[in-house]
Amino acid sequence: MALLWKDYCDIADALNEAYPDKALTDMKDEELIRLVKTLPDFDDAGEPDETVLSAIWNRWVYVAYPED
Amino acid sequence: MAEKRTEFESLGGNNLDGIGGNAKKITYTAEDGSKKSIQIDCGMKFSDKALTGVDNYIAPLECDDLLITHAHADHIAGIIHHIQMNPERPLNIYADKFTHQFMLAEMTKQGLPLDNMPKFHDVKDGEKFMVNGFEVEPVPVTHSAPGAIAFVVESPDGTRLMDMGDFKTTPVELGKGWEDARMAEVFAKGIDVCFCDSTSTTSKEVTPPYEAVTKGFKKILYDNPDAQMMVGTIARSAQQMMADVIAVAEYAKETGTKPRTFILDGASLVQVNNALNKSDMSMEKACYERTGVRVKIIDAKSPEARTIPPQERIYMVTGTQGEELASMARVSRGENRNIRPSRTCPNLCVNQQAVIPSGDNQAIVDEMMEALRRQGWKTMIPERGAPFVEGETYYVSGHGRAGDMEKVADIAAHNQPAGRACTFIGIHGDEVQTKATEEIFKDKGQKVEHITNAQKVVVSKGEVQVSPTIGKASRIAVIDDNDNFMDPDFRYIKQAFNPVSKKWEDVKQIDYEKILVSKNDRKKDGKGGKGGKGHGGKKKGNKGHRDMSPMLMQKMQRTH
Repeated sequence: MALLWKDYCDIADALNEAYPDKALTDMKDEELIRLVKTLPDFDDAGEPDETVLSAIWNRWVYVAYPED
Repeated sequence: MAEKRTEFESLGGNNLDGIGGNAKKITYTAEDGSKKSIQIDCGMKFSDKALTGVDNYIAPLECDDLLITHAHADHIAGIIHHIQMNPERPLNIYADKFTHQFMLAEMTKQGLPLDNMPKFHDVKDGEKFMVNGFEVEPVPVTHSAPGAIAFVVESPDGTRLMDMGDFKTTPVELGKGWEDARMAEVFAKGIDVCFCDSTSTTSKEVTPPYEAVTKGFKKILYDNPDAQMMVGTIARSAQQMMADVIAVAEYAKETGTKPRTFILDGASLVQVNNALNKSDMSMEKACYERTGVRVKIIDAKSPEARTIPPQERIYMVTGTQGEELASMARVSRGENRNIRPSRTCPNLCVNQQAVIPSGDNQAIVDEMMEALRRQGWKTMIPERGAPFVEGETYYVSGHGRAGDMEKVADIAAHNQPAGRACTFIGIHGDEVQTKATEEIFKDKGQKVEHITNAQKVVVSKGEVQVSPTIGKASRIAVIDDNDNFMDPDFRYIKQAFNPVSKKWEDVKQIDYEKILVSKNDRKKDGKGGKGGKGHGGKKKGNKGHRDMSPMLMQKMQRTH
């Protein structure tokens, strides 16, 4: 099932809560996949593609810097 | 049987009311009357909401194949709105990889479902490709945004048009940029019509290179060796940030000191840095290759940021115009948890962007800088229009001046094949700016023509003519009732320029057929014509897309 926008926001919120001090600059996709997999309630539906990872990461940046 | 022809139409950008909303369409009509089109750019024009009630305007999107010159809002920010209006539209976007990555970041950040994402095609210097029957050649140019491209578009009848995009003619610090030899090669193959960025052509000489920023910023480093620094910048104009990075590396090498670390505070800066890294334009890597010095770039959220001694920090922040919620303004109010003045060393704030003369900007920026001074920050900000001083200037524009256009004219004159003249036309500006561009080329002995929005340049059998009729110039007003830019629930109202009232009006209020009159008719009526005052545009001068209120500027930064 395709991830919806709300799903990306939920994942980004969960990442920010779990890793408030995690550096976002130049994070490799492999590292992002590893972090997502550590989240509670993670349901492994296979390796996400680059576009999905980009969506999660970009939303996470916005959560981390909500004021910008 | 139809006459084969190639047409260029300005859909937006050659406005009567200032810069923005750039969009251009190229159409080929075959002998059987069939037509094929591609579009270049689809930008946003910023509105003064206090006056208009409209958040912004976007240019039309008339083709499914779109070439993008660079990642600035006035060239790309209309696209996401068109997708939101028509999510199933199959869009193909051809752009540099950085532009692609930046657009992807913005589209995902704004909540565009992945299923509705356009299909991106990365283009590279020298790698021609075919789009809808047109052969397209990307040519790198220099602009403040990395990955800026000029496009040469060859239609099936061999007509060759070049849209220069936003450009100046000095080298870039990051990625590929303008090269005289490369442009000579392009003109040597023959260009029938060349469309030139007119933003700064009312200014004399050549726009200084980014190398000048490096020298000016290095002087600041020499003058403030022990200060914690905070530098205000515009994220997507990363060529200037790269110039700062090189200055830090050169200073460290010259003084034998440890290079300062750049700490990015703000989503847009972090995203731009990430897009650069994904586009083989890493600032850290490029700096090391050029200077042999490793300068670190980290984000303020990183725990490492807190371990760096204050005098080794350079915080890069957003909010050069005092945008209320941006990093620098929050520092000035003591509300930024990532950045505080140091008690152990001097503090220096360099706002690396002059105040944009619009609304209350000057008062807002003055107040912000004063608040920073009260906190103990020494402040610096460039004066708008100040003359260039070698070693002192630490901000330069990404748009070419008159001297840059003269250089283009000379390159064309020396390389264009005999018997194949190039016609130059100013775009990306109001009437004053575009005509200034055309005067420069005319003075250099080149052929020139002039167009406004919705006017066509027609090339047939080698002859270049401007259609006497102004078409249906349209744009779409973007209105957000909730004043919340992340909320995609916008209203879109199509507007058209009414040449009788000289105003943009909602389409439903306008009877096109009654008001569309040819330029010649308007001349007969004494209402002006080509080059006359009848175009009715306000002569706002060289203000550009930065001429907007702080809140809109903030929105621009939040969106593109």
